[in-house]
Amino acid sequence: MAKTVLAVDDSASIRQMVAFTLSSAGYQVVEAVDGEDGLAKAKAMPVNLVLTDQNMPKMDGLTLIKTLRTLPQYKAAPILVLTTEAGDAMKMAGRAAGATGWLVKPFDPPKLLEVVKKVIG
Amino acid sequence: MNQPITAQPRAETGQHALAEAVGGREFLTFRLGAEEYGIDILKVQEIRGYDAVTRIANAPEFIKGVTNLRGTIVPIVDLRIKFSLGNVDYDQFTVVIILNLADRVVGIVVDSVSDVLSLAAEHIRPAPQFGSAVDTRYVTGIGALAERMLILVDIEQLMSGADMGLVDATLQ
Amino acid sequence: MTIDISRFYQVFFDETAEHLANMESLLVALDTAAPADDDLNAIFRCAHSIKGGAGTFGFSDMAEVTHALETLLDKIRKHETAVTPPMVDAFLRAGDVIAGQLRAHRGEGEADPASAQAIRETLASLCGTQAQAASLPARSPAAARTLHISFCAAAGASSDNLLAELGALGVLEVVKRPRARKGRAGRPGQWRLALVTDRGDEHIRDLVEFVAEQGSLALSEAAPSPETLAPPAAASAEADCGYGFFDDPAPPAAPAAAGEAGGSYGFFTELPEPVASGADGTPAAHPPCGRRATDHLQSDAAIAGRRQGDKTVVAANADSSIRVSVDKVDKLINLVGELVITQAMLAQTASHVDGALMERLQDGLNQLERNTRDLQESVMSIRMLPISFVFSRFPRVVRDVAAKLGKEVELKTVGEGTELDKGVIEKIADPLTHLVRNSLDHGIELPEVRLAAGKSARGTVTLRAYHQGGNIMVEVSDDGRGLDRARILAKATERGMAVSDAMSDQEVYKLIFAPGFSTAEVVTDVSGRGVGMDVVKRNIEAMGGGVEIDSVAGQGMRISIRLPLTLAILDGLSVRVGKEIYIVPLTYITESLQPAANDLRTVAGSGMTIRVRGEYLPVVSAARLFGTSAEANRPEQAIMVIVEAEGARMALAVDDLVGQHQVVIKSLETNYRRVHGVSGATIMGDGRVALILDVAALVRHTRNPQRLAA
Repeated sequence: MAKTVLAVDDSASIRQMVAFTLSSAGYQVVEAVDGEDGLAKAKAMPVNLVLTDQNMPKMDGLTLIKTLRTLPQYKAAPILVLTTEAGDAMKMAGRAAGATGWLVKPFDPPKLLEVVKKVIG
Repeated sequence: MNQPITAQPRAETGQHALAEAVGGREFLTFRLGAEEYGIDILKVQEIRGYDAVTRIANAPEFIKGVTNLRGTIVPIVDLRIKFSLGNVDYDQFTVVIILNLADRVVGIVVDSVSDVLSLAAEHIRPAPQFGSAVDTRYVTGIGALAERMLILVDIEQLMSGADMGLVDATLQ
Repeated sequence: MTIDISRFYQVFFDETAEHLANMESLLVALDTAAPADDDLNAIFRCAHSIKGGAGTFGFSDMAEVTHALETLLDKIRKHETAVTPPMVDAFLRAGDVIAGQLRAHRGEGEADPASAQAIRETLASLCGTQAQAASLPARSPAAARTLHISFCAAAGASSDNLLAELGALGVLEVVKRPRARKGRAGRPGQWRLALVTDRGDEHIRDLVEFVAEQGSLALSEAAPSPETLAPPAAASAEADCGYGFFDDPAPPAAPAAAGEAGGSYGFFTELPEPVASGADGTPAAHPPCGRRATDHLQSDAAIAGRRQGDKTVVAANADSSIRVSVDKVDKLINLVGELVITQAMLAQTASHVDGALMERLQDGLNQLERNTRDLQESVMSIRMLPISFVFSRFPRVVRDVAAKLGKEVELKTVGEGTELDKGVIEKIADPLTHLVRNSLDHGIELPEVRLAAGKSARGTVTLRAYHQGGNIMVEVSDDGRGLDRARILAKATERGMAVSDAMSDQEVYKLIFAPGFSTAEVVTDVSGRGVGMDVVKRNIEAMGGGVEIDSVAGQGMRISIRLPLTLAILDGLSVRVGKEIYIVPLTYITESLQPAANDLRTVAGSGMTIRVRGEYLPVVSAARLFGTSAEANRPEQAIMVIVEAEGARMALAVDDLVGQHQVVIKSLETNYRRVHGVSGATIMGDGRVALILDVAALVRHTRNPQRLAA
């Protein structure tokens, strides 16, 4: 069965690119427009990997990650955080929130695929 | 309501090229007065009877007006009047050829539609300087087939000419 | 697998345009004295999102400008520096520059690299000086300090030159070189340098970015704390090039741990406590730079604040709306138009059917008619947009124009949710802009004049939209000086217009819409050279709308625009002229009447007039106009349809009034050409085409017959 990736980003173009790239590679992609939406969708269906932006309206990525980590089914699930800076502070914040790893924006489809493959095969 | 007498689906340009490559092209032939004309079948959308035309004030006499062709407004040009040929009647036998040109749909009224002919390259002769009703600028050649002589017209050019009055002469 | 990212451009363009518009409205509304955190965060997020997309899709010019924008906005939202009016100006200009770049990428015009460069410098200087003042008050900018630099060398880039150049700027220490990796030639590895220098961060950044992999460069002033150099953090930092993992996600597939994973990613060896909060995590994961940690906490607080009450100005909700091309919608509208016509044809045919069948048929047809009308309304509503699409540009217009004129003006908008057809929206923007500029220029007085008149120094311009019957009303009003009747009359006389003191105020005010009339004492570059108001009026009337004007001297004026809900359908009166049927748009008709013989007068040589309520109007024979023969041989047998357009009235003599209809407007120009005196065509219930009269053109023609040819 296809692995499911939840892509959480407030930018429609990035979301579309992620969805297109991953679904072309055989993953099933669920899109969410912000943290709240992402949380609702993560609760509603089993997700193998969460890919979330940091800065979003309603609920930001860090809060989403922290909240997901309180749910039993996401205690150990891989969660990658998208950061726009390579700055350590943002990564540390991601780590503190419970993220599994990070991916720096801008990224291109091959890099995205490489990372996702590494995490969930 | 008039039903289309025949409906010619618009062929792909690829097919057109193919027809030319094997040396044959298809023409719809029609009569205007004593002369027989041929136009590229690919420009013909359908053939209809003459029906319910709304006159447009101050238009030239040969522009009969506009009609409703399945929701689009299409002008109707009477080529018999345009080329001052014979008597002009409108009855159940009057025929309108709906042309689908590059940027517009136009109907033309002719005396009668004859048939669709395939002309091989050897049947098409260069246009001589002669007196046809249609300006020789628009005549692309002469189709000679047995006893018949077809005047082959570039209908696209003819209809978009300034004297046809279908296009705004200058952008205002 | 290769993926052509250009397929995502359109979405990026659209969302960027939304972000820009949103950022502009937030900026214009921002109170620099007491900016709300929510607003600052929302503005930051706009720039941040644009930058993210621009970088991802390779629009580096936009990414560069948004980067400069984002950097300063980030400092502001973290309260490292206070927002100032010059910053807001610079942000707005940056928005304009990005909008220009966006247009260029869309293929609509050329980008202006010089203005992009200029705004980047402006933003950088605002950022540099302000930031220094705010965060490093004690330090002289020229003081030497130790800079810790970490980056990953881009593939193929040589670091030798960089080391030499950095060495020339101060004392350079290479803390760590990238490890040579077996079988991984060309993969980037991480450098750590310490440089004691008095040069600015930007200078160093420029040098290093030249050889660093994008996004991998980090500069900090504080020395990395021992914690961050501890193995877990070091492992993460080592993987500083694009992405990485905080723990090892897939041991069997990737036995390589942390450092081995290659320059572009790495793992943390321990997974943090699942419930670790930011505060808990801070000591263990202390970032190398103390200031950054503080920033992080502040931004966290800001985020928390936002969570409580986000106004969600960005309405980019992917789930509740879809983007559809206007062509598709228009095709749907056309098809529904056809359906309406077919339904009318059926109804007409059915009216000739007799007997028991008739009743059932009629029931079905009535149902069909209701459904068709509902369907048509629903489909038309797809094209409807809230007028906020137009109103949203005015805060910026008012701000810029008022600043230029030295006036203090507040803009109020009412009824932004009022919806109207997209076509009308597009056409109303320019006339409205002109009216608003006119209010700012001629209506609102200078602050000292206002104070002297006992008003507040700050004037108000109000934009208001609302429904009235089948129309949309849009008003532009101000509390300025109002129109000066005497001055308008004087000017009109000077211009050789026919005026008299007996004219009503309304009539006098309407003179400002006359061609070439301007009430401005000085021609300004704000509302033009007096060419505007007549064009405004004509454009609105061309849409089937109208303009009204009210004014109270010293208290202000109001211009009311009446617009049709849509341009695709109009309410028309069908009239018979001889055997032909024409449609007269209802908006132009004031009344229809059967004339009494003694109300008709022949004016020597030039035609006929009719007296309607004491006023003599020219009579135009529709039959003569359209070159057909009328049934009515004498004018008193005709029906007079009194029409008004562009402030003039006339009587159109027709044979009969047939009925009122809502008609679907069809273009004559699609397959034919423009016809003078005709604005379009429609298809009647019997399938025939009827022409729609262009009443405004006919009125103009009656006043100036020679203009028909124009």
